[in-house]
Amino acid sequence: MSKQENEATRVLDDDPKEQHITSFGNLVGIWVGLLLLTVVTVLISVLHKNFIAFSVVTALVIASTKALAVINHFMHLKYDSRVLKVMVYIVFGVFTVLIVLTALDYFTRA
Amino acid sequence: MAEYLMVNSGHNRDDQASKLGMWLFLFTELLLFGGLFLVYSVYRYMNQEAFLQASLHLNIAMGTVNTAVLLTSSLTVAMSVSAMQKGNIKVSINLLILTLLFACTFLVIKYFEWSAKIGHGLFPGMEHYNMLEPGEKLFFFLYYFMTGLHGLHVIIGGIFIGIVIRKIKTGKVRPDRYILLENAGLYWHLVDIIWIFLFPLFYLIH
Repeated sequence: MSKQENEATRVLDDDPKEQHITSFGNLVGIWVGLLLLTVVTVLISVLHKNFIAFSVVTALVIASTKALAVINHFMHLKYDSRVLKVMVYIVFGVFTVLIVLTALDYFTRA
Repeated sequence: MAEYLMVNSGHNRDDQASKLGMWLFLFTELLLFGGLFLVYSVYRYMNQEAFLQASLHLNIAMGTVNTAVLLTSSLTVAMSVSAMQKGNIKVSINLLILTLLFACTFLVIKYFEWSAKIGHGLFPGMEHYNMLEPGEKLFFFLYYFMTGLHGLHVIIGGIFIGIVIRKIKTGKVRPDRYILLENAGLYWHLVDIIWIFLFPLFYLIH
């Protein structure tokens, strides 16, 4: 593509805002955190006799923490536009409601 | 100015919209796997003892290694996007190739896991499987279906990343136009997130 064309694209780009670039250090830090959480989950499960019972809730809380870190940092949502954030949080919220309601249904059946 | 508009007419790009479209697609993926997680939770609640017994057949070590492999591959994709934004095309390509290597590692480990189980006759329709309790059969059926569907996503994500590498090499994805790389990254991270939930639910229930 010619240089002229490049400039034209830039002129017409409707989002002139400066792009946030996540540093390698930041990404590696998140990665270390994710690996540590994985080790914690596995240890709690393998040594469960010495710890509190490894319930579904514990598993889901740790997994959700990991998923949030991936979404916010690896998927860059933390620095994305508000539209994306609102969309993602609403969809995940609705999905959580779906899970909770179904669980309540089954747990309260006679 | 008028000349510039002529050159670009009909080709206005909107990276924001591209990304929004990718997220919309990811939501459909969330519902696909979310539905399966719901099925798993309900059957597990109804067959607690059988699911526990069946889960002991899974190899925690292999599952843990695969989790680490996928998390690391997510890191390399995210780093590749950062490198591209900084203009380091070479680094960006190398990080993507590294990601593909991790994807292959994941699939090879998965292959060994599945073949070990199939070697023991633990696959729907096989002798050992047929003698299991109904609850354990359900566990294995869901195990193969969900990890299989996830494996398919790993393959598709790998192909997507391969296409992006080609486009970087031909100059179609470059430091001032890298939304395709970002979207491939988003897809890959979603595959990672699904595994983050699959791993504890199948391997670590005691």
